[in-house]
Parts: sequence; structure tokens; C-alpha cells
Amino acid sequence: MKLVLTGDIHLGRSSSRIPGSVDPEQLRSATAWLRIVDLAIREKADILCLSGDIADQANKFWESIGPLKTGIERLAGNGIQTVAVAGNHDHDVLPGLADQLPSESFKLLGRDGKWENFRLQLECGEVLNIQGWSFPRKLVTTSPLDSYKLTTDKNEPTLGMIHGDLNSPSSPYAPLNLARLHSLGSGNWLLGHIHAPLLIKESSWVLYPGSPQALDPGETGPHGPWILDVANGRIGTPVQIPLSTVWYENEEIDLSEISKPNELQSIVLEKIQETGNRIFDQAGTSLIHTSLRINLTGQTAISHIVEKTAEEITSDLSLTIQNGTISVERIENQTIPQIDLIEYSKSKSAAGAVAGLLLELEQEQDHFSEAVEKLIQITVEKLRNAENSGSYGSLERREVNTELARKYLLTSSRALLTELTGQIDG
Amino acid sequence: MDNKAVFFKEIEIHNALGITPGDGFELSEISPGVNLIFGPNGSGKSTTALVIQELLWPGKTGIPKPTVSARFSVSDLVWSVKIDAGHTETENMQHSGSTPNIGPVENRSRYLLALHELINSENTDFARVITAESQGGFDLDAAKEKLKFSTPTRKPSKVLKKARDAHDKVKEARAVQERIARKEQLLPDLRRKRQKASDAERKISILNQAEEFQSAANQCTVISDQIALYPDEIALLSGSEEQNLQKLADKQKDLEKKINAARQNQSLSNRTLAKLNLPDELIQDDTLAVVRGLQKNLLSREKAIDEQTRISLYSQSETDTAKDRIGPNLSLEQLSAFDTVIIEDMSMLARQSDLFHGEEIALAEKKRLLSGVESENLPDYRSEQIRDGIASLKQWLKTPDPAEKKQPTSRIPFITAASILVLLAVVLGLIYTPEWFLLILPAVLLFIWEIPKRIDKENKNEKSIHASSYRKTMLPAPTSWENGSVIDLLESLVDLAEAKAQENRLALILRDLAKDEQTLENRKTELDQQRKQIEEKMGFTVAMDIQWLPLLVQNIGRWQKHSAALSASKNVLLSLESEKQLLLKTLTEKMIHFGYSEILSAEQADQATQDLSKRLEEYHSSVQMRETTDVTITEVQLEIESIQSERLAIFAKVGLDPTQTSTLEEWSRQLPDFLLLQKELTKKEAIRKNRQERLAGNEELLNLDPEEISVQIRELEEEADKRDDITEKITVISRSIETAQAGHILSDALSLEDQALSDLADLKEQHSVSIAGDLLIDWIREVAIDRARPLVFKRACELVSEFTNGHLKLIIDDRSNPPQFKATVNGSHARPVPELSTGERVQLLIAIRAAFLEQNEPVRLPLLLDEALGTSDDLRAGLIIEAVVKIAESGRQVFYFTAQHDEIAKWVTKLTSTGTPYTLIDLGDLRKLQVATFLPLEVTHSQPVTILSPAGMTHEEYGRALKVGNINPHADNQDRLHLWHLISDDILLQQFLTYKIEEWGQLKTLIEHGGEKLVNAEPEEIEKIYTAARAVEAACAGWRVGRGKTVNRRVLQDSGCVSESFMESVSDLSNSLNGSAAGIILGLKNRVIPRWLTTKTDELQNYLENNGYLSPDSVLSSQEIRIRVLASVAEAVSKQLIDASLIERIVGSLPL
Repeated sequence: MKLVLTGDIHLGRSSSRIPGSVDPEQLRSATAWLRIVDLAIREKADILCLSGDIADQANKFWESIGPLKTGIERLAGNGIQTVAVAGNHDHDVLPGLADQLPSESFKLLGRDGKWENFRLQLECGEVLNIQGWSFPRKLVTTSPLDSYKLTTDKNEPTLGMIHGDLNSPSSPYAPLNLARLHSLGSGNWLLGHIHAPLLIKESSWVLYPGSPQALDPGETGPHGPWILDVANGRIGTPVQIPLSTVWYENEEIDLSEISKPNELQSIVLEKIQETGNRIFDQAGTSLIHTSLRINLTGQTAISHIVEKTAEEITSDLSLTIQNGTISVERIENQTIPQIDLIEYSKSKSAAGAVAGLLLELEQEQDHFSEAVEKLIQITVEKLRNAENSGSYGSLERREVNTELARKYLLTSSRALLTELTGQIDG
Repeated sequence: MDNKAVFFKEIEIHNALGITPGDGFELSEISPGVNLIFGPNGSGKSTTALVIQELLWPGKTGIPKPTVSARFSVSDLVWSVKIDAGHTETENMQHSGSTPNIGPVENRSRYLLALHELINSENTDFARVITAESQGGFDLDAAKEKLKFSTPTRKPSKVLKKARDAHDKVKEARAVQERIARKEQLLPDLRRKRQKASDAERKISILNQAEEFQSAANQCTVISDQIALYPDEIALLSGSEEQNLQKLADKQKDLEKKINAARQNQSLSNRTLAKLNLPDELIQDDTLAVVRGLQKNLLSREKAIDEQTRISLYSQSETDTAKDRIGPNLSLEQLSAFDTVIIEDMSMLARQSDLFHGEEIALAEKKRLLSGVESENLPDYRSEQIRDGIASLKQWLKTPDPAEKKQPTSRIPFITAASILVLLAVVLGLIYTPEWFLLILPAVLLFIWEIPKRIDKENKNEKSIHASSYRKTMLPAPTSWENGSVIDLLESLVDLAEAKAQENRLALILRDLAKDEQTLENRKTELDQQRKQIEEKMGFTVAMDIQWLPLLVQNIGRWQKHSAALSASKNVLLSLESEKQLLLKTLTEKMIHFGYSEILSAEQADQATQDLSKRLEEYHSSVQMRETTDVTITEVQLEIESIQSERLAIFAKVGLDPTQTSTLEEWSRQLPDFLLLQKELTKKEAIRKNRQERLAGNEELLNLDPEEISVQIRELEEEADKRDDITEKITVISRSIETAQAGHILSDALSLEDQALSDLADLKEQHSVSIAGDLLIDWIREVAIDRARPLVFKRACELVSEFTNGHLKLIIDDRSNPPQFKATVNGSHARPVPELSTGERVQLLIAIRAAFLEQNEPVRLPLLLDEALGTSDDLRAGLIIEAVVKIAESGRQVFYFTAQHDEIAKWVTKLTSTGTPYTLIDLGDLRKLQVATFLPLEVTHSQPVTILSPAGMTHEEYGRALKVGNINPHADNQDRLHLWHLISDDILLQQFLTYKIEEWGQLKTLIEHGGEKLVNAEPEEIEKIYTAARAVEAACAGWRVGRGKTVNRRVLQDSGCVSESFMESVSDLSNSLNGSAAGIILGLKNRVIPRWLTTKTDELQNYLENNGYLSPDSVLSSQEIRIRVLASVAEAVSKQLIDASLIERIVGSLPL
């Protein structure tokens, strides 16, 4: 018995922050879904498991349901049954779809937040129990595992499916406990909710398949569905099939050894090329674009021109590597001048004060000096004001805390130190 | 700084400014502490102050020739200064001559603080000094500008607009989807309605059938009654009876005509047969064919006989011709004896004889042609001899005469000769034999000869040599050895050489002809031998010349061929004749039976056959006609009988006899109506039956009242009519769903929104860095630059704080040019000195001056204050006095000049309370001025500030007694917050209040400068107050979520969006709405202020949003605020620095 596992497709959305030159059709999660369908058919899978958030709440009507229904019907036409649980995004969508489709095509488990076991037996005699729980509403603050009371024949393999937040007890999205998961059913669980793929393997495994189409720069690395075999009453270990057309990657470039602008250009371009080759080697044939976020670090004599030069190098850069392209989405500059920070901080000058602040902020500590604490608190307050202002009301509200303030103070301190030391250098 | 200080002990003023000699006075009991010098205007206060400075810096104050003196001490030394009309003498009691170092005169102004000066001065010089010392070599402003560190005050309009537009598009797309979703929800209802409509249609159909059933049943009854009126027999009629009878009658007439015609034909046939008189028994089907076959065979035999006869005649003719040509020498037997071998041998001999004969003729022709060529009589010279002669002559001609050697033209004849020779050689060679080409050689030699000759011509004449060579050839000599003669001779020799060559060739040809003649002779002999051999084979001799042999052979072959043909032809003729006779006999036998005589030829046979054919054709035709008419007659008779039977049957079928024609006609006339009724009845019965079947299960409808059915149908039709509309609606919705499912409109809109939000997030990130950077710059200024501030500034800050009890905080604005002092009042925004109240300004500047006095002065000099309290209120005056007292207590002598009684009173009160040494000098009294010019000084102690004791009151009661106001959550900070809200310990609170420290901002400033010692507050108490203040700020921040800050006139001004002309009305609007930003914007949008520009509303809205006056969020509940407060002071709670009751009180104090 062969299973294809996926979730968090978020139909109706597309990969973001990708240059306009890339075919937008190839960036849609709906297109990714159809590739998954093709994969399942090609692999002669028996079941396709969906772990929730298949449709995106923001586009949960037709543009999600249309492709989803088409794909499920196509799978059914090829003898593949789709089994799903609903997530916080599609808790109000999947039940309706399940009502429209025959259960041998599409089986929604755990409706209304009630655990359900689905026993499947193939003609070859292979048996699999799939147990699932679906979001009954958008927010679920208690652990669904508390209500798990299913029993099955222990000799038969069991796969659990649930959408929820692992090891985050205060999460409003069905908080789940890893140890508890391992203790329930056969301990093999397909989860949904987190978009970064994660396979936790002990005696049994817990899998976040991740979004099969990487949707934003936070979703780095390979993305795609997973595939596994159930044979002789045993569930195998899932293997990821990279299927995303986009690969987001963060790349750090240490410029400590760089002292000339042309060296900067070489190292940045070489790194991009090297990263691109590595990714395209690792990715499947579906990959058409790699989006890089570059973090420049280190102490360098040219810190005052690093940002501008790097942006000039990468602005509108679009390299063709193997069968795809690669571009730089953002450059973050964390470089500082090549000075002895400790010695500098002893000076009573403004630059000395910045160096001292930088040293203090860079230390991972809970308590700062009174002056720095005060600065952080004021920064928190001002950032909070900005956060609460109408300007950014359309963005997801961040939790403005000490850590966030520290981050921005670090960034601005590095820039200010570079600028002030530049003044001395003329 | 050491403890050195100047203390005036005595001062005498004899002549200075308005004080004239004799009008002078002496200040004798001067206090080392504070000297209060009271006097009305013009009493000499300012002069006294100036004199004191003149005594310290003689000649530097600008007083013209003063006469003044004084005694003062510096440390333990007492100095005496005498200035007499500007001449200065300084001495001390112990030493004379050396003037104490009191610092540069430039510092003089620092020690004289006049009210008007303090009011008008901003002390920028001091500020500049402080700033200069604070700079650390870095330009923070430049760095800030370059890094764009600032707190954004305006909305990122473009990016925000893009995000909003994108969001609008998402909303728009989603609205479409939601509309479709809403419509989809209508589908079940629509489908239900469509089902209902369909049901109605079906029911109508059933009712229609019931209606039709009833109608059909009724009609059946009526029709049945009508049918019953007809005779029963009519039902037996088919309706075609009349017509059938008529048809039968007509048919019978036709048959009778037909039978008559047949009988006439029968008679005619019989007559024709009789006339033909042919024996029926001999007439067979193939009779005519047999006769015709015989006739054709006969004709072909006759034609063959004719052909063979022609062939025989031709062969005979050819045989005879050949025999004639062969001649009589050969008999017919001999001719027949020639066999093929002999003929072939003779043919061969004949062909060879022909060839021989041709060659013989050709040879004879050659001989004939050569016989015409006559040989010339040429001189008997050898060809070689002639050739050598020609060569010598040519050489001779080539060789130029010695006389002509310099004339290049002398070469022409040689070249011409050579050219002619070459031309001649080519022509002759081509025409005759190639040997003539040899003539080219002499030409070449001629050229070769010419060249060396030309070379050697300078040394010798070669002509004689060539002439000698010619003479050796023995050829005839030229007529003379001149060019013309020699050329003539050369031409004749060339002609001779040509003739000689011609002669040689002819001789060669004749030699070849002789050889050919001999060859032909040999061939003739060979041919004769071959002939003899053939004749031996034949056995006889052919007497003719051999040249005729081929013709003989040809004729023998011809004779043999035609002779054989003739013989064969004769044999065929005999056979054909025999066959012809047999055919004639057979034909005659056949034809004689049909009346014909003997047949003798094919032509006769043909005529007889054609005649017989015509007769037989007529015979057969007649016989066939007779047979046909017989059959016709029989058949027609039978048909007539059948017609009569049918007629009888028609009548019999309806029970009539053939005579009742009229009855039948009457019934037939009625029949159509009868049948129509019957058909209608059948139809209606069928309908009735069909509807009855269809209504199975609805039998109750069979008997339903038709009216009722109609009513029901009408009712149902209304429902059924909706079906198409409903179906259309369902189709439209289904199509919308299908289109939406296949589309990407919302997906694309979301992508665009993602992009726009990404841009906005990037901008937010930049702004966040910028905000942090802005704060960082300020922090650096505060921490680093302030850290690097000179001590004088720190001292000034301390003094300002002391003077104002923390109310004012001194700062210095490095960024303004020139740098300037500013002050924050209770922590509010910094204001420059001119914007401070007069009292605050005096407080601030005294502090600054005092601080500077202490810096780098070699000795502390007296401080001169000229009505420094000025317009200060009691509290502020008290604070200034306290400050000055402190200055005095620090070891500096103070002179305070004033004309205000109340000021003196304040001073005295304070100085008395502190025990500071002081002297009160009444200049009016001292100078014995007229009473009218001043009021005598009456010193009355002012009442100390008394603060209500909290004794016996709860904290709340104490607050009410103090008339403490509520927390103002709109405020940017809580510096104006009454301390009652922060301090639960009422005794401690009373202590602060006693020192007029009522507000949190005051206390904060005081504490920052170590002022907490004023009330001996424990550090833990101070920490509790700070904690409570944080709690209040968190509560207010929570309260402001969703509310925004209060808008007042100042905010409106700061916004820059409200012009002066509208300021009053907008400010009134704000006041009427309690500063609600949302209300103001709504009011402006609703145009409550006439002529207000809409665009300004947007600008103002942007400003208010960006600065926290308008909030997009929901208002927090008390519980939510409480949680936030707890979170903000969580650590302090755990340390028991704040208790729940205080938090509850703070939250409860917030307005609803």
C-alpha cells in the first residue's frame, strides 16, 4: 500500500516575493496541488492524505474548492482515495466538499472535532487504520489529544492525522504534545499547521509535511509532498519528494576577510552561484526559481559601503542556473567596521557609546544596564506606537517586546557605528 | 576650587554716577552671607552694584571717575581699595601693593544678575561653551540625516495606498466570491422551487388528462346517440359501393369492345395465312437459318474461287517473265534442278564479281584523271641544290650593305622575305605535303643569320660570302648582284622548288596505280576459277559473261517461286469448285418445297432466300395474331363473368338485390356522415381509454367536477410558470460557480496584496530601524554627550533642579545654531528660554550663572542680584531664595537689590528660617531720602506653606480633600499626574506636597538629581513610586488602544493642517467633542465647518493616525487593561513593590 502525505497547501494562494518574470501560474498552490495529484497517479498510490489547511481562509470559496474537487475526482478516477482532516483555515470548507463527493473518493475524518477511525483494506489484503480529528471551528485552545479514545486492533498499522500546533501549549490552534502523540495509536502521525517540513523520528515518527509549495521567504528549504509504503502490517518512514517550483533560502556571507569593493562583488556573486547550484542539484525537476535572502556579517574595512554595493550587485539580478533562475529578495547588512569594539567603547565619544551599546546588546542576556534598559523600553514604546498606528494596520500585528527592540537597536547601532567611524576616516 | 572668597565688609560711595559728593553713603555692616539692599528707584541700588564691581575691577565698569572705597577680605587677608576720581589704590593690612587675583574682567557680567538682563538674555555664550566641550569629534546630526534615522510623522502614503488598493481589490474579488457563495446557498431553495414547479406541471398534466377523459366520455355518449339513428345495414357499407358499381359497368363496356376487336384480327390472320400458302409441317424454327447458312457458304466458295483464279493467273505471268529473262539456254528441267547450295554459291560469285567490277571502274577513272596531267619541262636541278641557292640568296639579302648599315630600314626586306617564306611554307604544306613546312627553316635561319650579321656588320661585309655560297650551287646567277635582281632570282628559285616538289608527288601516285592494276588482274583470275567450280557442280555451262551472273541467279529464284505457287493454286481451285456444286444441289432441294426452281448461283440463292424470309415473317406474324386474339377473347369473356358476380356481391352484402339501386344510392349518400360519427366515436373512446389508463392511481379525478379541475389547473399554472425562470437562475448560479472555480481572480488579487503588504512590511522594517535609530541618536546624545558635558553644565542642571524643586530640567540644544539652553517642564517637550515664563527663565538663568561662577574662578566673588525675583510667584521666589541662600551658604557673599517690600519679606522669612547670616540695608533710610519718595520698609514674614495632614483620613478621603483630579489617560506621559495616585503612604505624600512636589514629573526630576533626600525617602519607597508610575502608564496606554489621544489646539497647530483662519473653529469643534479625533474627522467630513477643504481633512486624518490620535483598533476592556498593567509590572508584583489594590485603583480611575 502506497500513501502520499501532504497538507497546508493553502489553495488560492501563491508564492510571494518572486520576480515578475517568473510565470505566475507556476507559483500557484493550486498548480502544486495538481502536480501532487499527478505524482500520486504516477506513483500508483492507494491513498492521498491531507492534513488540513488545504484551502486558504482568505480564498476558501471557489478558487480553492474548484481545483481541489477536480484533483480529488481525478485521483478517484485512478483508484486513489483521498483522506483528509480539516485545519483552522478550512474547517468550514472541507465538510461541505465531503458532502458533495462520494466517500470512496473523499473521506473527511473527525468532523465536528470528534475522533474517527477509518479502516481501509485493499484487495491485496493490506490493512491500514487512519485516525483523524478535524478542526470544528477556527480556534481550538485545548488539546484535541485529550479527547482521543479510539481503539483498534494493535496488530493492524495505524496512522494518525491531525492539524495542530506541536509543543506550544498556549497556542489557540489545537496545541499538541509530542510525547502524547508518540503514545497514541501506533505513534505515527501526520500533522498540519507548520509550513516548514519537519520529520521527528524516534521509535515512531511525527511528520509535518510542510507546505508543498513554498509560499513566502520564511519557508526555506525543499518543499513537497511525502511518500511512504505500508507493507506487511508496518508503516514505513516517509520520504519527501521536492515538488515546489520555488525554493527560498537564507544565506549568510561573512565579509571579515573583505577589504575592497571588487572582492565584495566576487564573493557575493560566487556565493549566489554556489548556493544556486547546490539547491538546483538538491531540488526536483519542478524547481524553476530560487529566492535568496542574504545576510552580510563580519567586521570589515568596507562596512560603510557594503550595503550599497551589495544592493547594486544584486538589484534586478536574475541568474539562470541549470533549468531555473535565482534572484536576491533582500540583503541584510550586519557588518560593522574593523575596530576593537571593547577599546572603542572605553572612549567617551558618541562612537564609543555606540560601540559600548553594541557590545551590550549583542550579549544574549536578560538584563541590561539601566541606561540601555531605558533605551530599550523607550524603543519598545515607540515601536508599539508605530505598530498600533493606522499605517501598518493591514499587516499582521507583531508582538513588540524587548527582543524586537533589541534587534532594531542592534541594526541601527551597527549602521551608526559604521557611519560615525566613517566620519573619522573622512 | 579652594575656599578663597571675597567678602566685602565696608563700602563707601562718595561720587559715582548719580551719587554726588556730599550725597554719598556708606554700607558698613555688610554681611558675609546675604545682603538685602532695599530702596526705591533712584535710591542708588544699581549704582551700588556697579560700584562693587568697580572696586573689584577698578576702571573696568565704565563709571566715570568714581570716588569709592571698600574693605574686603580674601581668605584671611583684608584688603582695602580706594578709588579716588578713578585712581585706584589697593592694599591689604598685612601686605601692600599686590592686588588679589579675582579673575578676568570678562567674567564681570557673570556676577551681576539684573532682572532685565536675565529676562532678555538666553545666555547663548554659556551654551556655546558647554556644547563645544561636549563635542567628541562626531557629527551625530550628519550621521542621523545620512542614515535617515527619524520617527516617521507621515503615513507611507504611496506604499500604503498600494496596499489599500490591493486590499480593496481582494475585498472586491472576495465580495464577488461571497456573492456567488450566497447565491449558491439559494440553490437548494431554487431547486426545491423548481421541483415544486415541476410537480405542478405534472399535476396540471394529470388534471388535463382528467379533463380530457371527461370531455371524451361525454362526446362518446352524444355520438353514439347519433349513430343509432342510421339503419344497421349502413354499417356494412364500405362507402365505395356506388363507385364500384359504376366502375364495374364501365369495365364491362370496355371488355365488350375488346372482344369485338379480337375477333376482327382473328379473321384477318386466317386470310393472310391462306394467301401465303406455306406448308405448316415443313416450317421449322431454323428453316430460314439453314437456308441462309447454305446461301452464305455458297457465296464464300464463289469468292474463294475468284481469288484463287487471280493468284493462278499472276503466278503464271511471273513464271513466264522469269523464264523469258533466263532465256532459252536453260530448259524448264534445268531450272527445276537448281538447288539452294548452287544458288548461294552463284550469289556469292555474283557479289564478288560486282565488287571487282566497281574497283575496275574506279581504277580506270584514276588513270583517266592522271592521264590529263602533263609534266613540265623543268631544269634539271636537284631539289637540295635549289634549296641551298635559296638559302644563300636570302642570307645575301639579309646582309645589309655597308653603306646602309646605319639605316634601320635596311632590315625590312629580310623580314619581309622571311615572312613571305614562312607564309609560303605554311600554304604549300597545307595544300600539298608537309615537307613544304621545311621552308620555315630557312626563314628562321634568315632571322638567325640577320641577328649576328647585325652584330658583326661593323667589322666586315658578308654579302660576298653569301654570293660565293650561291655560286657554289651551280644555279644560274642573278642578272646583277643587286637587291632587285637577287629578289627576282630568289622568287624564280622558290617557284622552281615548288614545281619540283609537284613533279615528285605525281610520280609517286602513278607508281601506286600500277600496283592496283596488278591486284585487280589477280582478282579476275580468282573469280573465273570459282565460276568453273560452280558450273562443274551444276553439270552444265552457263554461257554468259560473269557480270550477268547475279541477274541470272535472281531470275532463277523468281521462276522457281512462282512456278510452285501456280501449281498450288490450281489444286485449290479444283477443291472449291467441287464444294460449290454440292451447296447448289442442297439449296435447290430445300427451296423447291417452298415453290422455288433450281438454284444455279450464289446470287440466285440470295434472291430466293430473301423472298423466303419475307414470306416466313408474314406467316409467323399472322399465326401469332391469330393465337393472341384467341386468348384475348377467352380472357375477356371470363372477366365479364367476374364483373357480374361482383355486382351481385355488392348488393348481397347489404341485403339488397341488384334491382334496389336507389336504396343503395341513398345509403351511400348517408354513409360519410355515419362513418364520420363512427370515427369520431372511436377517437373519443380511444382518448377516454388512454386518459383513464394514464390516470391510474388518480381514479378520484375521473369523477372530479370539471370546474374544480379548471380551478386547480389555473392555480397550478401559476406555480408551473415559474419553472423556466428558476431553471435560468439555477443555470446562471451554476455557471458563476463553474467560472469562479476555474478562475484565479481572488488568488491573483491576494498575490498582489501579498506583494503590497511585503512592500509595506519592508517599509515598516525600515521605519522600525529608523525609529530605533532616532531613539538611539537621542540616547547617544543623552548618554554619551551628556556624559561628556562639562562639569559646569552638570552643576547648572543641579542648580536648576534645586531652584525649581525638579520642576524644570535644563537641557542644551546642540543642534541649534548657536546652541541654546532649553528646559523641560515636568518632563514635557523642551522649550527654549524665550518660551519659558519669566519666573522660570530667571530660575534657569540664575542657576546657569551660578554654575559658571563656580567654574575656574580663582576666588569666589560676590553675587549681585538686582531684583532677581521679579515677577516670580511666592513658590518660585521661595525656591530662588533658597537657591541663593545655598549659594551664600556655600561661601559666596550675595547682594540682593530690590525695591519690593514683599520680596524683602520673603527673603527675611527664609533667611530667618535657615539661620543664614544676612543684613538688611534700607538705602532710603540710609540716604535720608524724603518719605514721599519711598515707603519705609516694613518686613512681614510670609506664612509657610501648610499642607493638609492625612491624619484620620483614608487614602481616598485624603485624595478628595486634596482635590486630586483623575488620571488623564490621554496625556503623552504622566508627568502631570498627582502623586496621590502613585504614593499610598499618605505621610510620605504629605512630605512631598509640603515642598510643593505634587506631580510625578516634578518628583522624577528631583529624584534624578538626588532630591529624594529632601523627604528622606527610602530607595524602596522610590522604587514603589516608579513602579506605580509604570503601572499608570501601562494602564493609560491600554486605555488609549482604540481611543487615540485627545486632540487640543496645540495638536491642531502641530499638525500643520489647520490654518490660522480655521484654527478657532476647528479648536471649538475639538472642544465640543472632548478632543475626540474620530469625532473631529467625522465632523470635518460632514462639513460642519464651512469652506473647509476636504483634502485638508485627509491630511489631518493622516497626521492624527500617525501620531496616535486616531486608532484603528478596538477599545480594550477593563480586564484586558488590567492584564496589560499586570504584565508591565509583573516582576515588581513578585517583589511586592506594588499590590493588587493599587493596580485596581489605577484601572478604576480610568474614565469609562
